[in-house]
Amino acid sequence: MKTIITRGTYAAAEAVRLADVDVVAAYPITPQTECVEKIAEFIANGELNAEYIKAESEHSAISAIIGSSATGARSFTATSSQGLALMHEILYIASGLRLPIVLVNVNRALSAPINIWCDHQDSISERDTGFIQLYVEDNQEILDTIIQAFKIAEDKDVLLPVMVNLDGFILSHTYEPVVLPDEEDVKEYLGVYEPPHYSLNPDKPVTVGPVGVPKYYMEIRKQLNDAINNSVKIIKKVNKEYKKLFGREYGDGLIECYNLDNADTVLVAMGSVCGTVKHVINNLKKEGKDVGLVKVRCYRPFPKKEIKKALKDAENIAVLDKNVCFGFDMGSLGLDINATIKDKKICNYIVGLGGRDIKIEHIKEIINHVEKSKENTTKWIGLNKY
Amino acid sequence: MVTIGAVIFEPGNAVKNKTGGWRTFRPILDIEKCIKCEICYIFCPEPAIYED
Repeated sequence: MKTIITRGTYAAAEAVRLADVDVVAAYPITPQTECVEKIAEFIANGELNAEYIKAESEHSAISAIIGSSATGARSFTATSSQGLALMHEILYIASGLRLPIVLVNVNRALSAPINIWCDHQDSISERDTGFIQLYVEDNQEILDTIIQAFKIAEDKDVLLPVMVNLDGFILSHTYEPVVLPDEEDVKEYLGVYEPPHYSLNPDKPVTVGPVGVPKYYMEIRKQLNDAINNSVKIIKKVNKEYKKLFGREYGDGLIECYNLDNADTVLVAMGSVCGTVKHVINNLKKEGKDVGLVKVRCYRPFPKKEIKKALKDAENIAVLDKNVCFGFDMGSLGLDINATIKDKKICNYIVGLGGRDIKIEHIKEIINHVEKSKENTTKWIGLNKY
Repeated sequence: MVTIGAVIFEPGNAVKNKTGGWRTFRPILDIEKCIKCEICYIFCPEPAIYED
């Protein structure tokens, strides 16, 4: 175990090295590129024994690792924004074929207008692809979550792809101390991936991706839905195991509750903004005011039961969204919290689109607004005159 | 019973499935009653039906 000072993209690459991945296929895109560049460097230096496929597009990159994962190779790709959007149709194939791929998405706004900075519109747009979606707060969590993602994905009761989402630039290009677990410990923890369901092998041929006629299609989709629902248990279990072995945990693995006791006002958020919210909460506590935070770490499967329990005593719920559901005037997390919690005041705040800074005063503005608000509303925060 | 990922392990097992869900019904041509509605033309393979 050693501590290094590193940026988010490199923390992701270190996790891939420690996870002893067999195949990496990727296409460069800002702000992800450094992640796969670093992995290529590890392979070139002999620090990681893996096949690196330079794909001609993201569509090809995800297609290539679907093939490699189907042969039983531990497979990884990383992308961002337009790259993730280009992968769209193939993402459904990864989950439909039940392949435990790990995909790192460095969250970046979608065009137009073209923008390389952070928001969550890219991954939220892939919400219903059957991928497990995890969102991280800092660089240590990037490393830990990617290692955990392989453990979750490859569990015989899950067998689903996992998307690990980290905020572009805010995490990807920011240096923080990151504790690297020992290679041998991670190797022992993850073991060698041996597909329990099927693998492509010339000595024992199988048909992968046959037509699913109307008589069977619904059952196959239900099986996928059951698998992602059941993964809740495994995500919790992996979080606990990881704490025991490596000393770090993230709430219950699904959500992290922060200062909820005595807090009438509770914010709900995902990703790096949770760090800013915690900072504001700490300062308000010194002034004698309690505000809470529910950090949603696992967005799909959506931890309804856990969120309901965490928010049972909250009077003012403020949901922060770095995405918009155009035409519904809400963000995706706001919609989900509204669908989960009845008879409570829930206000939705659209924040930080296209890299707009979310400052301490914005968080305070949200707290003031939700406390004064008499009804459920949606408000865009940090908006200039237009 | 569907397998995880809908993978097929047994070659040639399509014979176990009822695949005759299409063309179960087909028109029978009676020249005497023909009003040239062209239903037979749509159902039958090229070039089984000639207008005259």
